[in-house]
Amino acid sequence: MNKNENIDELLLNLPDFINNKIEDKSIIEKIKNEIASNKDFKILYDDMKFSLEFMNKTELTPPPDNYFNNLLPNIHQRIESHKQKFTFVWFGKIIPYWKYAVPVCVIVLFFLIYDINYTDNKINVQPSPEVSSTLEEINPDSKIEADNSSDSTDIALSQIIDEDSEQDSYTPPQTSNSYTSRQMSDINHSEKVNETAKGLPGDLPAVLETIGDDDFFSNSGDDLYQDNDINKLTPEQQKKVLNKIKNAEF
Amino acid sequence: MEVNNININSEDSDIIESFINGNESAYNYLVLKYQRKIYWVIRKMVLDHDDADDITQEVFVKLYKSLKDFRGESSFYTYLYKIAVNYSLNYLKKQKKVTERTKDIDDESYKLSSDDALQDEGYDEAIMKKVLTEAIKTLPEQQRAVFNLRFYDNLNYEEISKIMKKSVGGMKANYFHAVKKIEEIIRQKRLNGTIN
Repeated sequence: MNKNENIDELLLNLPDFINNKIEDKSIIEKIKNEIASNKDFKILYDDMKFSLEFMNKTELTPPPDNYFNNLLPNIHQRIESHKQKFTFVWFGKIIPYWKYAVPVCVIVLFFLIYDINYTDNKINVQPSPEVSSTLEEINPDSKIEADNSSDSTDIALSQIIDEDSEQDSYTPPQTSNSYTSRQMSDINHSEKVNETAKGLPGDLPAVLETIGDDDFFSNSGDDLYQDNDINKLTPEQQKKVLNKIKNAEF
Repeated sequence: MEVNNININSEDSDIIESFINGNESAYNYLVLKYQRKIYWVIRKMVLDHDDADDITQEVFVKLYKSLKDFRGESSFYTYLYKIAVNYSLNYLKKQKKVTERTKDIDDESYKLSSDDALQDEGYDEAIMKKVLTEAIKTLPEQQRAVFNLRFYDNLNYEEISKIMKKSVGGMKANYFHAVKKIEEIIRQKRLNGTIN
């Protein structure tokens, strides 16, 4: 061990030396020798001794007189409150997750409601019996089946689109069979309205306006059936159908 | 019955056994027996009475909950002492974060409370307490803990290293640096003439 390491070791033992907490006599001797021979060590020893003596004689302010008499009841009170808190621990554990759970629930609820409404719409897109019978009467090939499943609707739509493209060279933006009736009706709706209006007699657009978009196109899935069938009719037949539709109760 | 034979002077192991056997009042004997020691261990670490009171209560609540799991691997006082030191250290760590955020407010309130103390007790005594508190407050929490364990509680370095879960050499160095820091502050106060 060189001299520096030796002094470091003695320095670490200096506080204990001052407080008489060292049992090893050889260390005590070494420290005494260092104090006698090393001026810096002696200064540090004096300052440290003063400080430790200062701390020994300086005591913290004692607690209030009755403090220890009241401590036990206070502890029991706290134990009781801890027991009560424990009941709600599970509740407390859930709380941090609420900020995630609530938005997730809202989103799930939104989709559930949306899905139910969408299903309802699909169910309600049945044309009234009068319209169906009229259409059947005029053109038996265009019989509307009661089946409202998305597959049959899609097939019917694609047929309509194919027929459209043959008749009017109309090219829908996308003609994939995977499109739902809602998507297809959204894409084609406005263009179909205009084209239907063009194919009708001069006063028919005015009649359509009288009926109103909301009344006439309220069932988006069925609009295409009706538009397509109307296009196949003569102007007189179209007028007759429209009058029947107008008088029918939707 | 053996359960009823215990009192505050009974052996810790007997009191604990009695508690484990269902005698809830045995717990009271442990509290009464160690409340002062534990309070002062905590008080010297955290310095403030209200904080010490709060931590002392928490330590005994913890004892109540965990006493049935006490295996007697160390003496009961060492077990309780460790809980007290750990709770105090945790408090100091939390306090350090709070103090860093609210240093200015803390200084102001400390100044006010010191002024009150000066009116309540002798001037020299109050000054000495203030200097001591100020000096201890400058220590990092680990140094403060080691200083208290060694200086006030006379624990040897092996015991301290077990409590702090650090090496004996490290604890020795911590103690020396703590004493050195306190010494520097006190020397400054002597040079300023704050203390004689």
